[in-house]
Amino acid sequence: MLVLTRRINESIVINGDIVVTVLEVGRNGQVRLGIEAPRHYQIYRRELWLEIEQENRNALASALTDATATTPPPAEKHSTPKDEPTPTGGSRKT
Amino acid sequence: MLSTLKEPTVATLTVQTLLKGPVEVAEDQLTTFVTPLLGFPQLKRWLFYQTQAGPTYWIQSVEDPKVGFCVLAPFQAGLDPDIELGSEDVGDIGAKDVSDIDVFTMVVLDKDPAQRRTNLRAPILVCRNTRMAKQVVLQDTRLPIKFFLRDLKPIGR
Repeated sequence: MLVLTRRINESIVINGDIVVTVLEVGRNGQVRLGIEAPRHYQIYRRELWLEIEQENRNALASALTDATATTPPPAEKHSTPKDEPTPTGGSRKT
Repeated sequence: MLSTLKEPTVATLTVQTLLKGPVEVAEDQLTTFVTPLLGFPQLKRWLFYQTQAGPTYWIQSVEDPKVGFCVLAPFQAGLDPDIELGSEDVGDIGAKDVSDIDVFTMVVLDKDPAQRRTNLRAPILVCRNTRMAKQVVLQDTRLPIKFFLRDLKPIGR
């Protein structure tokens, strides 16, 4: 990890088009950052990013074999044989 | 001479789906994610399919047959999330305006029916014309990451 020391109102530039400025350093360890970047960069708090990544993984249908095998999801009835769910969770007959 | 034959030139391929087994589809029926689903950076091409009419769809990774998701068309399902899209989101998938875009939300089919939920904060946008898609994370913190389907009101409430 690259580590740079900056003071209040000092900035770093990333890739020529992203500027991150330290706006405020609180005594409680909180740091306020200002970010200027072209609009197509998606910028989020990392926790939000990780939470959505995790929720996507939670949604993996193959990990939910039991759920799909026992009760159909809302508004959904697939023609899976209800016996012996395969490891991939589907109705594949191979 | 053979090249003058008017045969359809769209290539087809077989996609292994979780729910329907192998499905033969034309290449141009596949959806390409220009920004991958968070957590699945290597998977670009997907097949959207249904097992019955309604707001529930399934998406299947073409590259990894083990990866498939249930997704919901929230507006069809009677949800009316206030989704505000930036012009870059619309443009990234080649859409001219929002009327070109279909919205889907990821569904977690938890074993416990009471825990089944959908993520309204990070919808999938699909352009109908280009079949390009991306998952966006919306800035509006009122949109829940976990919207429980048990709270879904019947359509025409």
